[in-house]
Amino acid sequence: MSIQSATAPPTVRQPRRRPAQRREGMVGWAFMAPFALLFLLVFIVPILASVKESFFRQVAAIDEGCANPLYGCTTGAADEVVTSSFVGLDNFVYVLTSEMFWSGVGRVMLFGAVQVPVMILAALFLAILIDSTVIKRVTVFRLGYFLPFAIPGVIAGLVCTYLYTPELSPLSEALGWFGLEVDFFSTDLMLWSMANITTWTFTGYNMLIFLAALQAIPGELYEAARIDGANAWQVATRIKVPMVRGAAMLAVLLSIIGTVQLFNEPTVLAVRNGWMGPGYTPMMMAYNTAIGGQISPSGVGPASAISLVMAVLAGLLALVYILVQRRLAK
Amino acid sequence: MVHSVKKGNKALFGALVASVLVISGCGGTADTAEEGATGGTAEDPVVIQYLHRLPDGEGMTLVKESFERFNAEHPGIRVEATKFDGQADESYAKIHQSVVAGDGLCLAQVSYDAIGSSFIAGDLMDVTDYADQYTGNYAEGPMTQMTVGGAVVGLPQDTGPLIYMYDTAAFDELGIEVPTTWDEFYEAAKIAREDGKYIGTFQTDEVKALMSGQAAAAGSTWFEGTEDGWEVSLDDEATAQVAEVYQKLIDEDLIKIVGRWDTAFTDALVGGEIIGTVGAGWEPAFFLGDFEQEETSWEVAHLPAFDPANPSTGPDGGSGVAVVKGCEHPEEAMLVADWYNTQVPDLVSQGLVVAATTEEPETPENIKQLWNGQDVYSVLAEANDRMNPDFAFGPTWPAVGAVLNETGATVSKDGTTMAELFEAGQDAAVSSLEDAGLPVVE
Repeated sequence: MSIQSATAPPTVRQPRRRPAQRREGMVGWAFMAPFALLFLLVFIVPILASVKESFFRQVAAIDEGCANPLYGCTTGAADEVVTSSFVGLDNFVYVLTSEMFWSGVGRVMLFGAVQVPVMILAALFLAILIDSTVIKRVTVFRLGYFLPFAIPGVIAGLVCTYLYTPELSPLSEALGWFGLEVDFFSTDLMLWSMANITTWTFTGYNMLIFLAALQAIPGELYEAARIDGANAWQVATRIKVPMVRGAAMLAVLLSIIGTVQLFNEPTVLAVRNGWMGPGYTPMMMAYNTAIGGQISPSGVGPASAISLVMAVLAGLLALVYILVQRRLAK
Repeated sequence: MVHSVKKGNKALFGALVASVLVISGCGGTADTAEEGATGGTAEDPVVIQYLHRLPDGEGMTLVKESFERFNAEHPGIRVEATKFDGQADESYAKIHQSVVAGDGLCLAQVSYDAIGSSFIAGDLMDVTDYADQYTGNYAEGPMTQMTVGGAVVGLPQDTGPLIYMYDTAAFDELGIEVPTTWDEFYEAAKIAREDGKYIGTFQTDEVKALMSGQAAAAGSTWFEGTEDGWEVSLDDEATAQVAEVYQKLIDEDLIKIVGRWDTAFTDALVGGEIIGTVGAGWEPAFFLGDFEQEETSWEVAHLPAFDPANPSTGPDGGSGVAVVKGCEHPEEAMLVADWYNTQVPDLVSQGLVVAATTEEPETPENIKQLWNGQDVYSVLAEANDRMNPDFAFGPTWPAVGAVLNETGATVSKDGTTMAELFEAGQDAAVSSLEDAGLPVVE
């Protein structure tokens, strides 16, 4: 949203439109139509639907005619064993007072506070390395760093499950040579084992964002710097880093959103680590509330409320980040 | 109507006659025999889609093969069986989506512990009207599991009575006998421990299934439907007995705490550290696979008893074939479910302890050889008869099970206690039923 409002050109109202202009406008709308339609269908409509659902809860349909209400009304057509009943703000109250929800939020916040800076700095470092003249065969490195992003998160999680399993792990074995006993699955380390997967997957992706920004820096700047007697380190720290601030902003913003949506890695790891439970992260909680009934109250209603609260939290986080960033820039 | 058909293709004529007889009902009861109940014809058969999670492994009679036989014998019905490869919980989500989308799914494999929750999710059909003629083919316990609030929702397929598996050679070496009670188990475990071996496990990833089964074996009911609502009793004496037995074994390091599906389990098993464990009736089919041998000295025995005078066991798993809400041909679906669930040799080949009582299961030769020449399936059939028939899974069991599994994963000597585990389960059971709008008796 911030991007739209920041770049929207001022609209100039024209007194009268000539037919050619009108035709041009029509063509524009025609090009817009597929996007607008899909945007409406797969983005706006589901959001509205989930807003509506969040005011309902799925409960057994039990009326006075029920002979045996143990499973709702089983008599008759048994079509109405469950109904959606309007519960007002109950679902939101439930989410906001849920211990499971807040410990999940706490976990992803902690995760993001550590993982995002590490990843962004690593990505920036790699981008500057590749952009410098030090490295030969740039394509190989660029592709190499980016490649982990091509691997689906679930697969990455599965592979890492093997790498982390104490009895199989070559990592644990290698650390064992130095007398270190590390259990990547322990309750203390799990979050960082997960952060490791995410960092591995996304560093290359963020590097590309930085790389694009670096390559947009006009060459004259470097020339001028060299004439002024700047060395490579000074060029990197005084020119390149400040010039990619916009890209960093975008990368961090995307990472914050990604952190809030943390789902794949914990879901895969939870298969082997039952103590993580069905609500380790808020998105896992939303999924397991909507599907499978592992979290009670279950159903689309409470799950929608979880998602919406998370969306608001993500929006707030992004806003705070942007405000802080602006203040620092001044 | 038959008169209006003149000469012509004889086969077509025959088919038409058959279909007309079928459509017209032809006298009500007689037509239920075999093809009589089929609403379709050879040309236009009734299609029954069936979603299952059976292993369909090498050397087994594949589900598809069984139904090729069925389809050949029943020209009016065509069964299309699809294997679901994900986890059980995911299959229920898939079934739910099928119901919502109305895509014609008719039969689906549903575990007994998910029958109630699937029913209150509105995914299963009340087929009581078509069930009477089939109920006699199945053991009473499993049939009860396919009944919710008086409504039959399908037919039982297999059961998973808890059993005890042990290595006879290792036991002989230690000079211990297979324990028949938990007191004997405790004494034997102490002897085994002195030699660095475990005769039992606490499986951190199977807590909900194993502990509910143990509670049932101890005589608990957990969820009892009364006229006023659900009576929840994860806090009863029988369950406390289970907690006590296990807590003592855990505290004194007499059973190994390990995940069942963990490589650590396999290592300990093959390495000879685990020489006995409580498992489900469907485990013997593959339990010894990790040894990669054709013969072992392992055997199957009954679960150690809590009450020696009345040895009992409880369920760990087991599924039925349920009729899915929205199925257009429930009558034919039930016929299909009954036919497949009574194909005892086919189901045994899939490693199942069958719920049907129509035929004695025969232990396949390779399994017999593997299990020290033992007739494994006759022990399993006996265990089946010993199952606590009153134990039921409440309609919000997935939420209760999730809490049991999550809490159970942290059970250890100095960590969470067994008593705390069942307390957490009790709280989850009561609150989840209330959340679902179902009546609870406090």
